[in-house]
Amino acid sequence: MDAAVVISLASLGLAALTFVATQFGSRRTATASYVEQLEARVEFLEARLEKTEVENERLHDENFRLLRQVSKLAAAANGV
Amino acid sequence: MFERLKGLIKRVDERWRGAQLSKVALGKYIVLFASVLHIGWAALLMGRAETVGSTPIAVLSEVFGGRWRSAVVLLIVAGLALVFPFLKRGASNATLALLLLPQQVALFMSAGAGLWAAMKEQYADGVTRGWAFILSDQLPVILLSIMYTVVVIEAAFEPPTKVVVTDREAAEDIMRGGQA
Repeated sequence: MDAAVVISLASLGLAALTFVATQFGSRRTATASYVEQLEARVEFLEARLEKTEVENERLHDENFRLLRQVSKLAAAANGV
Repeated sequence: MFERLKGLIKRVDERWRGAQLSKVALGKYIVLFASVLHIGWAALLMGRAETVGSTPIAVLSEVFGGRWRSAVVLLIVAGLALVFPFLKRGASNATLALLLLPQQVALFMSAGAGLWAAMKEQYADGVTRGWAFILSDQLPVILLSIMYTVVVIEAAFEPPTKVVVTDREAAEDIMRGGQA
């Protein structure tokens, strides 16, 4: 057989082996990658939740303070 | 003696795995190098007929049927491979194989031709030299084909993981029906 054909067939064989290897890779890493992404997402969402809770509390206090102020102003306006 | 050698290999392996020259992965540069090499060969093939005689290209020319077809094949494999680094995350391993393996075959063919020439002690154009001379001459392409295989395997087994860090990215992911 011609050398070029032999070399080409061998190259295709090696590429086929690499292809098989990459397919095994997809199975193993898809899960690992998925879990890693989920962990990162959970961490991020937890940090954001904490920040939101703090902000929520601050807004609640601010709201309460303003309501009291409005109530005082209304009472003053009505001459109570 | 054997245990010490095993220990040494393990230490070298750990060092190598831990070695990081920069934050940027090297794989894309190997793909880029192979692609630029193939585009260069294609340009030379189209420009000068004598290029067909060079050992790494002669085998391609013989299999693909002449210099023009080989040039087109080289441009296609280089183009396909160059697409891969620009793909967003989530590209499957089948896509990886589809884009990178054609170039790998072309590299293996050139590497195989180099090894064959060294064994025969004769370049593809008929010039005879000692095996060591030819092997040292062809070694870069042979090594590139090996490095390229490592890149393909590494890309399949250790893909970069995307970590969501900004509100916008998280919102975009949720809008797309992300995994969280």
